[in-house]
Amino acid sequence: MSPDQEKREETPVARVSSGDRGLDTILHGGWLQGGLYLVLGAPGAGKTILGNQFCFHHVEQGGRAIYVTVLAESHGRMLTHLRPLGFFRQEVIGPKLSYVSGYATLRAKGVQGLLQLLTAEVRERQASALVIDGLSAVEDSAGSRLALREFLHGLSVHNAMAGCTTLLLTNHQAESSDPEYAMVDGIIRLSAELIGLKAIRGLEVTKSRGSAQLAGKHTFDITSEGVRAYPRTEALYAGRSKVVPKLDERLSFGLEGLDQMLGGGLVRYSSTLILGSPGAGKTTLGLNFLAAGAKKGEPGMYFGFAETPERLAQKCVALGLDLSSLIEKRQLFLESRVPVETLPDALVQELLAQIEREHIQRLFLDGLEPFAKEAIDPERTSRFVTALTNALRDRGVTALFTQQTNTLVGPELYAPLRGVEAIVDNIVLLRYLELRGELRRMFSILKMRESAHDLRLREFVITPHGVDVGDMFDNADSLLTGEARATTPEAGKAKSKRRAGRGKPR
Amino acid sequence: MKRILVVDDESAIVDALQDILSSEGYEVDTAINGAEGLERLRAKRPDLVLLDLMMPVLDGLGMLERMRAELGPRGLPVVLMSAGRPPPEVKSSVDHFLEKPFHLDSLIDAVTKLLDGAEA
Repeated sequence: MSPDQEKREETPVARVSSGDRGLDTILHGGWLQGGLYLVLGAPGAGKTILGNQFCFHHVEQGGRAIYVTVLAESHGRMLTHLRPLGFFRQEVIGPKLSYVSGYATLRAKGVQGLLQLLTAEVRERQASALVIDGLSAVEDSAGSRLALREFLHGLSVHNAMAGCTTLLLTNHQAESSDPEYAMVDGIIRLSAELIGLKAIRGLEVTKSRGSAQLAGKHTFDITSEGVRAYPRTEALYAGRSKVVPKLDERLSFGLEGLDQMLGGGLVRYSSTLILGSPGAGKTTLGLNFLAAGAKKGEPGMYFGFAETPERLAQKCVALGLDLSSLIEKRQLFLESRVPVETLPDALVQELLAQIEREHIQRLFLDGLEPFAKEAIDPERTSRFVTALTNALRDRGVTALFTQQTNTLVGPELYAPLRGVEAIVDNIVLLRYLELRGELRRMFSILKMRESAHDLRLREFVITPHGVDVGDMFDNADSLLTGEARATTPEAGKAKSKRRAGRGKPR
Repeated sequence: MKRILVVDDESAIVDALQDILSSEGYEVDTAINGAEGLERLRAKRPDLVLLDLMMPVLDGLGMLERMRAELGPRGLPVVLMSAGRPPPEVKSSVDHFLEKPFHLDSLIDAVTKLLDGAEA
């Protein structure tokens, strides 16, 4: 046996990029080189874009590709539709990427004639990527399941030898008993479903020979760059984090009273949920955490949905917190997204990419809801948040999340995302309470994993000069209900000075 | 025109090899097991045999033994093909070994080298 043969025996099967990083991740590295794949989906599901994106990307990487249509869209119309997409390159069409119609041959010579045409074209053009758009016409023409099976087997064997990765695009929803199901190396189903009024595109790899795939359904989108698949966050980061929170390292908020309550600050690499009613001061508190870190050289990022970075920075100035120099020094990043029609897994990919790029150590994710609630099954929430916290911890991030309670005041505290409380390491509560006819803010630590903390309920004070926790609410009880009850006539009067300069509830 | 005998029980492989080798300018004969392969070989001697190892009726090793007995130890170049990994003595007894699945280029290189003496 030659040394080359010895070497080949030890080499795993090569993979070919699909043209989309997310799909490559789902496929554990891409299509198998020389593999045969079935891409299923109703008209408009994105099959043609996916197939063309693969071809253009393949050519970009130095390969040659053939796109064969069989009773599908005309080449002219197809190219017109593809031109605006980011992957389209007019100059490669012809020399490296050929568009071929297979229907005339299919009609004249049947499936075996088409097979001969395809295999000859692959060899002639030295193609390493082939897309057949319109397999359902081949199925109809085959006449029998055996004939279709022979066609697919012949194509599979030939193209495996030729190292030509092949995608078969079809509207037909193959069942596991169908010939094409058994003959191919992998099956990808594209779908679209309505969740409320929103249409969510889904992608599922239901068969993948040669390796495991990221099982289950993933979301995808068709953007100006083409198909963008977003692997399910909990499938990607299912494993327990390798990073352990450092109990002896505390990350300060730069707020003396609050840091004292936390035993010096939050444990490094921990995750904390700030639970609170609208305007209770969650954002202000989180931005103080980021600013305190940034001043010490720990890059921080705000990632939120409610306000633009400019408006946020302005509001901070009004609260005695000037972030501009930290932003200029790239120690602090303010990122805002519009919280409509969001794909949570896409947001996570974007967030993690930015964290890695900017070496973020402190993250303030202001609003878990668009991540964990929008467009996904409510059953996913706890697994999704677990995976997100794992991924953040593995990247050396200490994270603060906020979740809004639905009630402004009142005895009930209803948080829309259930189960998050059990996942995070720490929970602090910020809420309004009514005491002697006045609204006050209250801060309390409900949970601090593996760490001693102050169990007292303290007033949270926001002034034009900054924020911090104040005194305890002496002589009052039932504070956690939001409807505090003065236990002496003097209750609440002791804080009148502090409250005098307080700004409006935010 | 050089003549190649392809012996393999997988019809799709036989068809593909026939297609590929014909387009490379070779005359191709085919058989679906060792016994049929010997018949073809006796009827019209090829210049090279592409031989699968695992086949019904008579496998590749059986055909190789009988072929060698009739034509001598190096009477005809043989390229052995298998998805398995035969022992070294089997591999070294043939002119070239192709592990399935193999690439078209490996096939053409081996055939060209053995038939035309060209460098692979």
